[in-house]
Amino acid sequence: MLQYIIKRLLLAIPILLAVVTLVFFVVRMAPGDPAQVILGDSASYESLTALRSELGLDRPIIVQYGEFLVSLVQGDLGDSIIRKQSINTIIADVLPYTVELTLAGVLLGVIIGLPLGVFSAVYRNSFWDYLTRIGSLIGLSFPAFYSGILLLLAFSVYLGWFPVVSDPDMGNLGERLHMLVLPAMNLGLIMMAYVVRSARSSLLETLGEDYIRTAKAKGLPGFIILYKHGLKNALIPVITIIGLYIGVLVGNSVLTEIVFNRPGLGKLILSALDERDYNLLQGLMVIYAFLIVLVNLVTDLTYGMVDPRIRKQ
Amino acid sequence: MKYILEVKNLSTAFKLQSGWYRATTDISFALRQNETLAVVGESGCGKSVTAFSLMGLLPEHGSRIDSGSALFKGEDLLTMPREKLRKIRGSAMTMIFQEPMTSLNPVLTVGSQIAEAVYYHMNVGKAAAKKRALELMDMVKIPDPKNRYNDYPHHLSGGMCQRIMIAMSLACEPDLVFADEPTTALDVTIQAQMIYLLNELKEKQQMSMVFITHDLGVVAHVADRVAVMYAGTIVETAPVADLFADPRHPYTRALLKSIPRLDKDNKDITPIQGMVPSIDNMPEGCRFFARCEKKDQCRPDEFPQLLPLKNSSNHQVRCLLCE
Repeated sequence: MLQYIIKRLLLAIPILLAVVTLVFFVVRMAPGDPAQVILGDSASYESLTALRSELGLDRPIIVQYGEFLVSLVQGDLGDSIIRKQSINTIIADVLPYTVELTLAGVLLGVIIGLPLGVFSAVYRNSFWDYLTRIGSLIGLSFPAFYSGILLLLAFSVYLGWFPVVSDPDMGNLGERLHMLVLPAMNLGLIMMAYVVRSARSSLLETLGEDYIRTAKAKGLPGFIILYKHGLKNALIPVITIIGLYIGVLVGNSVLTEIVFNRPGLGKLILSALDERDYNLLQGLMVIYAFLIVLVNLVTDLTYGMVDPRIRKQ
Repeated sequence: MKYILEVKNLSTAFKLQSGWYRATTDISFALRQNETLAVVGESGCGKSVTAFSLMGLLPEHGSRIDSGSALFKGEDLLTMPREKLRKIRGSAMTMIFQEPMTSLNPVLTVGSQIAEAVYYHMNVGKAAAKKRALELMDMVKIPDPKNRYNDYPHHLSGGMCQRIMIAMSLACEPDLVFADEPTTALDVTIQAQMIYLLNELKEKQQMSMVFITHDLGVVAHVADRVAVMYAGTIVETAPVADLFADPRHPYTRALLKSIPRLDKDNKDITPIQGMVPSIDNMPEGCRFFARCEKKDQCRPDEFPQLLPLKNSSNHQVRCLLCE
């Protein structure tokens, strides 16, 4: 098992390298100049040149790339051009907010989505099944920024149950959770839609398998057949889907953070783009790529825990 | 003589797009204790459907039992409450399936799948169920049961998986076992072992068996009686020796003639002409009429009944010419 984890982590290195390289060059291809952004439109040519050389932007791009890689290997993402701060610190400050938001979204989606999917499969083609399926289709179709605005309008503006603007720095754990509810629900709706659909179709397929007939022939009680024999097999593809869509959720967390004005990687990425903060943008991309690779690894390991056919290989 | 299982006029229908059609019609047979009935027929003739109907394993949607009764130890399987049938199923009446590899749950250990049958029927604890499962694994001759107990189905060969299935079906010492082509998916050498094992266990446990197969060669080894099925009906039933010595129904005769034999040159082997009628296009009269050698002497409009021969009441045939 340990060997497998190490192998997977080593395999992640070329992926990360490719992402980092791509980001490094694409960011620099974009129009705009950090020195210009910092000094403003009225800056003189001399002051711009001076700042560029101070930031190291006047050196050949290959040299910049090499230095970036060397410090990256040492775990150092470099310094922000604009904020004059270590990027490691900037990211570490807001990473927990994004992680907490995404995890809450995943949890909500799975906790609500899985039972709904099972329910939908067991009572297939009933009124409630159709309702659940239409609901999940709506969940899939809503862009996160739009559903976020609707949630804010309904629950914050009209009903007043939740604050319109989150500020996770303030307040105790209870208040912090209270502020997390709406953004997490926004992400959870997307996850829930995916989980419901995959759980339903996977369970339906499983219930048609020969071993379910065997379980029936054994005279087992219905709920044992459903949960022990059906669901355990049906979960395997659902876990893959969950793992895959955590990636999608990370992307949607950017939009959610912006709509709900929460601190996090998403808001950071927006300002880094605005400010042409090359280094910060690179750093964020590295972190995102790393998170995705990590999620995939965890997914694969979970997969092995549920399915003995994979475990022994 | 008291029967373990007495099936009368069982008809099962399935829903196709254009309506309900009968997959089996007027199935009747009876089974004594420790007797093996072989049900023979080609694919799709309704052998498995008959077993599934009796076990209550028909798909919930799109199938129904149209008529008939099936007394198992005096109680009708077809009308009893589902919960009561569930308790009989897996304990007193069990089933072995055709595909051992796909019939076992891939994410549960084989041992626990046997123990489960014991646990839910015999009112014992988990430890006792496990102990019984190990005994059963030993009984079906799985080497080193203690180590195999925690194996998953994909660790075992098809033959070993079928032994697990057999152990599972014998867990609660059943009175009746349906064996639905238990050897079809296995290698020929393993088939022989499996048949030997089933026969041995049947004698030991004094149970009755309905052995479903399309292989007439197997029938001679396992059966006391044979029922030959064609297009959803039983066309002939007789003690095994009588059937092979004196087949009466033209279909049975044709079937026996179509078996290739290693000790002959097989020049007289004759395939049956024509096709089995499809479920949504069954003839009103005799279902074998169109393919029958003697159709010139017969008429197509009357559906024949399954009737005993004049000189032997044990031998029944569904044929207008044999009456």
